[in-house]
Amino acid sequence: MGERLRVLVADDESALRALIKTNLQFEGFDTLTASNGEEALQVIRDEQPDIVLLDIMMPIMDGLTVLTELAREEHRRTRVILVTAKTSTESQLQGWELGCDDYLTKPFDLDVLIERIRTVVERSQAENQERRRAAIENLRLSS
Amino acid sequence: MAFRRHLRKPGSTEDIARAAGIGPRRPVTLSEINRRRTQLWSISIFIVLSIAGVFLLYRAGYDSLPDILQFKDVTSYVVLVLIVGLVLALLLYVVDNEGRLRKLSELLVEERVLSAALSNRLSEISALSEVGKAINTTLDLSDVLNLILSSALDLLGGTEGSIMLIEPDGEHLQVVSYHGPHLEKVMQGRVLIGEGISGTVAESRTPMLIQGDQIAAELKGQGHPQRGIRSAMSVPLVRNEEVLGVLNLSETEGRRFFSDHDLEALGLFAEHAAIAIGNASLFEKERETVARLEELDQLKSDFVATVSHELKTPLTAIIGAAKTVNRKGPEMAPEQHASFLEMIERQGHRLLRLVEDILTTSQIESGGAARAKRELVDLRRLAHGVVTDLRDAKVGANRSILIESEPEMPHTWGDVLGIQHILSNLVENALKYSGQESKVIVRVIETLDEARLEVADEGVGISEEKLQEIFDRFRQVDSSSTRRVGGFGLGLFIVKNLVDAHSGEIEVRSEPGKGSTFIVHFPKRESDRGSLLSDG
Repeated sequence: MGERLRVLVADDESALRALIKTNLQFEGFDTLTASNGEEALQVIRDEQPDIVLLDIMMPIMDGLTVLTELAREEHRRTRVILVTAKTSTESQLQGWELGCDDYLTKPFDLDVLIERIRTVVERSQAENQERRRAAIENLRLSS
Repeated sequence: MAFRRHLRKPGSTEDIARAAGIGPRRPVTLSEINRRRTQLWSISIFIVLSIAGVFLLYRAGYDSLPDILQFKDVTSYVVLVLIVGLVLALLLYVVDNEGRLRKLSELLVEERVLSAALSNRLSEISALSEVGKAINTTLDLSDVLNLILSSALDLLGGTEGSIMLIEPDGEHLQVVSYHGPHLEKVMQGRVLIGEGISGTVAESRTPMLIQGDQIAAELKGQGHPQRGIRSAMSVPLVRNEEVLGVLNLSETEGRRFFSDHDLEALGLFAEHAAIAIGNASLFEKERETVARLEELDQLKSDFVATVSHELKTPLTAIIGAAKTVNRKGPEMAPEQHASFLEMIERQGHRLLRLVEDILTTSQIESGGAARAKRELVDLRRLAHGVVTDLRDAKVGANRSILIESEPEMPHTWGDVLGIQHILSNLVENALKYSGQESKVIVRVIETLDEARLEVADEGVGISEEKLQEIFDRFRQVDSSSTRRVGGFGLGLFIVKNLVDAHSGEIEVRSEPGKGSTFIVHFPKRESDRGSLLSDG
């Protein structure tokens, strides 16, 4: 995958959006932004970014609802990292149950955030390769 | 012998029984007495019949009898007297014994009645002690009342019973517990105090026992279902001199009539019921207090959660922005650089305001804000100052905030800092809850009677039910995770308290979707009237 990773930053705080966006650009990612859940869902469907940094507390539609909606879609390409001030074990568990790929609490360190993004992306690529190999294996066996 | 013993002062039943020929080994029962009586009468009838028979035989064969039996001489008269004497003695014996036996049976019946009463008493006591136990072990009032009612019915009989309590309005009785065949009809019933049997008892506080036709007369013309009640009693439930309700029992099938004793027993049940109701209301009060404390506790911990959330967001931005500038400064475009520095400044101000809000709140809680200073305040200058400060703090940087004043220089008496805080919080709220394009209007007005601050926005507005609680501490119009804006929910709580400290009033006019207007009234004192306007 030689092309640049595309990351969607979904947060209702414009300051945080700007901050994360700038830092991701410095790291060589392409960025998209959304200021509420509904907008985020629309961008994910239209643009199919590689990864979304999803805030939980957002107007109109909260992050967990966005995650639930995404889980329903069959061929989900976009990976989700929840980035939230909600530190309770409860909401973390809820996030994991709904199928997020990582969970990060505010205040977060920008370096950590970027590392987490890379890890999630690498894991996703490894999984994809594994899946492809398994598919080829299957084909061989059946022929 | 037997005669003399009878003449003795009548002793125990056993003595009399022995005298009447019921031996010590035989139990003294009514059937034994009857057996003895039959014996006695059979013997006497047998003897009388034998004498009569002998006499008849004697008449039939009179002539062939020896002389002595023909009563022709003195000896034969002696025999006659002897026979008559014998018959008389027998008669006396029978009468004496009969009397004794009758006495015995009376005694026995009396004893039986006494022991029945005693056992009644016992079952009353045990029923009451059951009820007492239930009061102490069951916390649910309706369970206790049901138990009281059913044990009263078990003990005293009757086809139906009910417990009615006086409603909070103090004018009606409402059935809270009922046993009997008309459950649905009765449970819906409400009785006006002073009407009907229960109503009368509740009003007069005196127990009532009525039978048959009296009941029909009592209930007549009151639209009560009569249900053919034959005997009814009703006692008031009184606790600390206060009537709480009534306890009723009634008999519809006419099998029995209640007695005064029953009424007395019902009174005991009523006492227990009153205690149970008292306990339950104490318990209820306790439970409410606990619930209130728990709610407050919940609000507080929610508040702590909100505080940490609210503090974290600006901190994240500040730390992140500073770090970015530090590291990537040289690579950044100048305007990017500037925007990050501005971000730090803005978020710093935001933090500061949050901390100030918390401080003010704790001041209000410790009563510090209750004493407002009184100095002459130029409202127009104050409004301009507040708006400028907000802009400096990067709140609503690009929003249009209009200031209107009427007259040119409105004034009021009060605490400058307090009024600043009021206006600042109201304007900040108006900005928070309305769209980027809409405008916020601040009006400062002075009339003959009062000075007024008005802050109007074109934002989301507040629904009717939310209006009730917006001035509560820790409340926000939307506390769900999809809420629109941040904040502790302290702003309006602070405003309300500061307005109170100025003996002012705050009112809100709002329509969801169209916007809200907050109006603060500062009334003028008698001495202030007019003077301010002329000063201005």
